[in-house]
Amino acid sequence: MSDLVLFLPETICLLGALMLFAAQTVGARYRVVWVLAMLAGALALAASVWTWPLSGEPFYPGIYHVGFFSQFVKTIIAGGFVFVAAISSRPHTVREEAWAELPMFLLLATTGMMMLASAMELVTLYISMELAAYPVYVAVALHRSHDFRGESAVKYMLQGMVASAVTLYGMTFIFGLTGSTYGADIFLQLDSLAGQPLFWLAALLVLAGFLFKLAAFPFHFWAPDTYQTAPHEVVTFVATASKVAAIAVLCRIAALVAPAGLDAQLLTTVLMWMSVGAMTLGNLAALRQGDLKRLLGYSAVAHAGYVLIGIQTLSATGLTAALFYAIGYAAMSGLCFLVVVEVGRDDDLVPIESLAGLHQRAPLLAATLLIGVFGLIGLPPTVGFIGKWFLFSAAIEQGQFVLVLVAAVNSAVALYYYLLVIRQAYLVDPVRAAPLHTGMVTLLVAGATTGLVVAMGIVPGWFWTKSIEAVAALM
Amino acid sequence: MNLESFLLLSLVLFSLGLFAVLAHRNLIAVLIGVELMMNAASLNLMAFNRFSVTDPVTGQVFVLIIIGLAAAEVAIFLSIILNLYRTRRTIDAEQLTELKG
Repeated sequence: MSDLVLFLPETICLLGALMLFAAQTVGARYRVVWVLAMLAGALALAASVWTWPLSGEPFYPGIYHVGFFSQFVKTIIAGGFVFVAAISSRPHTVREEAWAELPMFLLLATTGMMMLASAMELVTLYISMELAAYPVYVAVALHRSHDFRGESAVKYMLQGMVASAVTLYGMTFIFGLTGSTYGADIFLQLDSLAGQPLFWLAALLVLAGFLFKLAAFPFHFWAPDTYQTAPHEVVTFVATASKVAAIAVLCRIAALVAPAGLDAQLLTTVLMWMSVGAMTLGNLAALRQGDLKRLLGYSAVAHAGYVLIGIQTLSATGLTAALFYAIGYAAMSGLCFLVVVEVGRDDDLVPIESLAGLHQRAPLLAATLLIGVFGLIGLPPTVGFIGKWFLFSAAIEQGQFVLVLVAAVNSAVALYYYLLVIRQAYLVDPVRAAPLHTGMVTLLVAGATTGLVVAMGIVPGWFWTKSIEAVAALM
Repeated sequence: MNLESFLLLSLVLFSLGLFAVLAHRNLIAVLIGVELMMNAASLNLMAFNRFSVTDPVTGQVFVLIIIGLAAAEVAIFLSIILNLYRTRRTIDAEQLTELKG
């Protein structure tokens, strides 16, 4: 019984999803469903924090590991869900008949993502990955516009299915080489496996599914399309919680391989080139986008590249930096999408011009966007600056000056398109003069997240220490 | 029959599936391609199970779970395709060009 306490956050999410299902089956009003979803999210968040000091393995030994790393990641994911739920008090871009279903799907996906953070065994990992993915596929298809509904869902799901099939194929080879699906068993055999190219090939195949979730090059093709045409609220979820879960799994796998003396040359080289590809392609493609969500999609590709800088070092510092950046990135992109949700209330597409004169129409939203975009650029005093600093110094520790140089040049290029966004919001006169009214809850969440982004930038100490502890619990 | 021939067969299946995904325009055909890729993985698991793994239970459970998840996946994808067909009257991947970048 005491074991089940370790599973508390996931249990709350699962029961919450069931409750939401029941609520929408009996035809509860969206307001009720929304309050229930917020409640479940808050409870899951509290439970994740409460389980920080605990560690152990609920159910069967070796399958599911609860420790500080997993609980820390679950906290961020639950926070992401609460954020998305809070800004969807009226999910305008979702068709109205389906409003009540949206929080249920998102909560189910949250459960899957939380399980991803703990999974220590291939079958569990695969099930969690699919549980985190399927509900989001459906949620993307809930768009109110007939033109977008099917198309963006088909594109997203098709690529997701292929990526997960590739992951599965890789897992079968790892099973074949080691005779086990347990992470601990595979870890014990790493020394003898390290010499076999087939093992590294299989490991790369396994990574494909998670690199897809992260939208890293060359698995990024879905990102711009899905970001542009999925309902705003769903994209917010994909851009925050989903990214954190993917980074957590990548950290766990990297930590498995990281112990010194192992020749992981192939893995690091491939990840490094993926990082370079993602940064360069994401930033260059973002330069010529006129659609705000599409631009943020390419920016997500670029940021996947920055995170991979930390992961490809396969060192404790690098993984800590990646985890730290994951929290910061979720908060920063969350802020940008909060503004998208508010500004794009009546539109299916959100061209950059729709931000025109935002500082007059809604000064608080404009400030939120400013902080979010400054974070994505990497300007102090936001977490974007200090997070990149940590990532780059982890790479320099490994002597990868060229990689850091490429990343720095990329950050400079990115400045251009981010400033275009800021320019629309602050320097252009409004096209639609009517002031934009924002709900209390949204403003509250915007304030709290802005506070997080700035606090992590000015006093990163506490978050950095917690990230170090988390990665230490992993290795 | 030995392990290698099974692995080779599954590799052929996997490649055929991937080819179908990349080359076909009809979304149903694409879905069949994805299913082929997953079946290749299942075949791999069973082959390893038979020839090289001491505990044969794990692989079989894994395959059963894959079959279940694949069914769920097909259900979701088909319903999305159906939705697409209702609004667009086509399931041709080439005609999904509303979005461009």
